Amino acid sequence: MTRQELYETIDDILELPVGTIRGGELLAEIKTWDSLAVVSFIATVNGLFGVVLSPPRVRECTSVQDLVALVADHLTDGAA
Amino acid sequence: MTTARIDDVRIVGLATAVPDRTRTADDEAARFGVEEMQRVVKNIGVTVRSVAEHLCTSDLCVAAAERLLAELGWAKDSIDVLVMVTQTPDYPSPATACLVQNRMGLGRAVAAFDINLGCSGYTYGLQVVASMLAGGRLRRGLLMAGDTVSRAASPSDRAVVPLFGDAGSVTALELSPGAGSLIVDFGTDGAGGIHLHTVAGGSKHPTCAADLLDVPRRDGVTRSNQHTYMNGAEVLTFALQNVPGMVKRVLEAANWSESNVDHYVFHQASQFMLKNVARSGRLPPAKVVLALQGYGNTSSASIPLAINDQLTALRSERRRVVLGGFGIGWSWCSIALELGPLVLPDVVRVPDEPMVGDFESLEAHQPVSDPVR
Repeated sequence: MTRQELYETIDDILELPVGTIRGGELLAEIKTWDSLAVVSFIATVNGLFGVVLSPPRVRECTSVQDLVALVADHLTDGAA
Repeated sequence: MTTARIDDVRIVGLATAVPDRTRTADDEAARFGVEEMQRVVKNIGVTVRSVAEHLCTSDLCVAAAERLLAELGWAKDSIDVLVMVTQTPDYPSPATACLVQNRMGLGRAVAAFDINLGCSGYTYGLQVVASMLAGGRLRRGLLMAGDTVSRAASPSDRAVVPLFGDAGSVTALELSPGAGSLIVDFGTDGAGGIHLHTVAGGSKHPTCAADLLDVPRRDGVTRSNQHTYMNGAEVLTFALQNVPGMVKRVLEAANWSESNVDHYVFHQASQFMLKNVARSGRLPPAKVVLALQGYGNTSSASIPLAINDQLTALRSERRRVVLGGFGIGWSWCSIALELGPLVLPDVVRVPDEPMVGDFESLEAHQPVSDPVR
């Protein structure tokens, strides 16, 4: 999965139109980033990459970039 | 983790009961908003729940038991063991199982006691009753498993209110030499207690007036110390990390492969949870029973309720089934067994009306009208 594809997956988790997330967004400014979205992100990452993220690590994220960093090692263009 | 094998015990029947009162997602939308409830429903898979305002766990379990015993034709004095699994007992003391023994008119020779477990409680209870019968000296046992968890939810907690429902169940087991085996895998990680619990009401934190107050908390939920606290993300993480392994171990212990299994009946945590657990464990989705709609997550009653609601073929057929309880504690227990044919009455609907208490009318409890000075 590429970084762009992960952005689109996060669009889906946050119930945003595809193409909304571009990487620089602050999570506090996204209305649908809440406990439900945290759970969805953890489950989605588990489904995509087979890893179980720790909930505190996800909650500590303040930006989409922080979320992406949690799984960067699994992205085909992770270092981009 | 531990695996065990229990031989010569047969499950002969199962019944469940729910309150006739229901609440819908539309009802909750008034508090949480229509869009928000649409997101929640998409996740949990529940638009209608059975909830009790008045009924206790015992009321639901007894209604189920009266129906089951009548259909089995079992005499009440033929019951040797009565185990009640619940986290919502009728009173702090005595054990609800003792009250039920008296209310149902079971014999005095019965061993009756409670087990304090929730989501994993049904499978632990089966293990306990089956083990007692397998000792060879006791012949018939009843496992009651039920909770009224909706009554312990803060009305403003969006994570639990739309999800929790109330139900009671009874499962009848019998010593039956030559019957198949129950293969059990179980474990506990009490470090998880911090993520799903109730603060007040025990001896470590006796309830005081302040515990009854609904207070805005730092997790964004307004709740009292008598309400259930649940960290949903931690529950999911626990399930993803433990349930697939639990299933794998019990299959190995039973010497079954995945293709041998007809149905997986897990604790009905939520649709989202079960779908992700199934995916993570590479279980065929069609084999994973979903029975949340109409009931909600009913804690210790959810596995028997799912069987009752979805596996009616067990009335006439024998199936290979894996039961999987997991949750509060953290605690987990899975059982691989061949199940059926069973006496399996339709789900009983109990009128949710005020019930008479067991002790409140006792003369000793009446207030002194003219206190002695």
